[in-house]
Amino acid sequence: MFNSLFFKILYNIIHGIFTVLEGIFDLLERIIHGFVDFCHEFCTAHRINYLKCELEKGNKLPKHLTVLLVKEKPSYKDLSNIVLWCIKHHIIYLSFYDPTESLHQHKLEKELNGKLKPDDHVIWHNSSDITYRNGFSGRKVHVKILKQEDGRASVVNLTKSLSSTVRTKDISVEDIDRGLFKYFQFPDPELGLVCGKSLNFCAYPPWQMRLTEFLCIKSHYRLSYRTFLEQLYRYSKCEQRKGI
Amino acid sequence: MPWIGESSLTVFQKFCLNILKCGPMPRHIAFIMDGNRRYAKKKHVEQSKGHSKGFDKLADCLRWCLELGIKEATVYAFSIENFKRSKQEVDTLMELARDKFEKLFEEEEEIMKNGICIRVIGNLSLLPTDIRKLIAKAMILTQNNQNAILNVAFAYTSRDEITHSVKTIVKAINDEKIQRDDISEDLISQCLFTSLSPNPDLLIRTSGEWQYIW
Repeated sequence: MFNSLFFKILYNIIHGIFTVLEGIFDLLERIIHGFVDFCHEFCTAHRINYLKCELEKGNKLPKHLTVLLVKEKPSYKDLSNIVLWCIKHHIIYLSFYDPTESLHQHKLEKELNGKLKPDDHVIWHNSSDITYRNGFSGRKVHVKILKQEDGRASVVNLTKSLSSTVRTKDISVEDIDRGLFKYFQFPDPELGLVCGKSLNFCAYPPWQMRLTEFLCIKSHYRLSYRTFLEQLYRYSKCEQRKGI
Repeated sequence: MPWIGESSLTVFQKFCLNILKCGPMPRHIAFIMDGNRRYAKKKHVEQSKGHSKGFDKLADCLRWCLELGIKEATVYAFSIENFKRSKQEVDTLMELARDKFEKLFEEEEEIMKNGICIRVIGNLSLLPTDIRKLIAKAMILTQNNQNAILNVAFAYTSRDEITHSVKTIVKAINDEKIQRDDISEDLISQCLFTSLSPNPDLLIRTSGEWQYIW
């Protein structure tokens, strides 16, 4: 009894100290970030050039980049930046996973208006209107907002449709892959940027995430071009053996 | 090296453990064993040695889980994709599995004393018959143990597991055991190999890479 009380007190003291220290470090980091932003031009231009160079040389970019907002409310300005950077770096598919369902396509479209160059096109995959997907000249990016129901619920729907059409029990992994692709429309993401201090997937579509390289960005708020490039660079250096 | 490592905590570690236990603890931890071959390469030893060292470290982890009072651990030991490796390496890994499952019965007393239930999940039909027999024997031996649960994912991939679940449900509908409207996320979960386990609270992947589910 006395023993457990003693440990409890110690736990609370250590926990308290840690929380305070964490707060201080966060504050320091923000100050440093603010400072870096301030002399952005001078400090980061060199690094950005280096990263661009390396990315072009390395030639390994994700075809589909997915951003997991986790619990963050969307900042349309920062999300539109991500869209523009994807166009710039020829990332063809971009998805935002928004489990809190607070991201609205029309607001992001509005934010993008005026920022897009005349030859750049954003092709939205959320609207039921699918006639406009082909026939664009110039650079383009396909964008989709993913909700929680795009994951497990689509497996449920697929099972339902299989149960009424398939009579045999020979359902293969490929059948399900093909079936789910009709709902998902995008190839499996190669790179996932997770907003938050730790990797938390919040029920991300389980079928599609098996080979995704997840990297933590603390937040998408004020995400800088440099940070974005750093993540692409990290991805380009990853060795994927796919179990072999 | 036994399945559950020897307790070798120092007095200070035990002290820290008691403090840690006052906070929130995960109920279920999952491990992805990766980097065994890179370890072997780095240390200039044979690949098989890397794999067996990896197993030893795992045994340590399981002992720590027991000491921390964590009820359930899942270990991703062998993926279906791993069958694509060279025949020699697959054979070595199968031999290691054979050896470890045989050892399990030598440690029967210790495992039963600790009340450890062992469940092997995966597409076991892909494995050699003798290993399947050993697995079945181990699972039956420990099935009533309730103190701690060890899931071993062997010849496993998440896609294979989901497919298995969908197949089970479609078959049940074809056999008219359930209705189409009964299909739900819960039902799919209940048909997974891991239906008896709560979702893992923590996932540990050794080797510093970041992809998760294979």
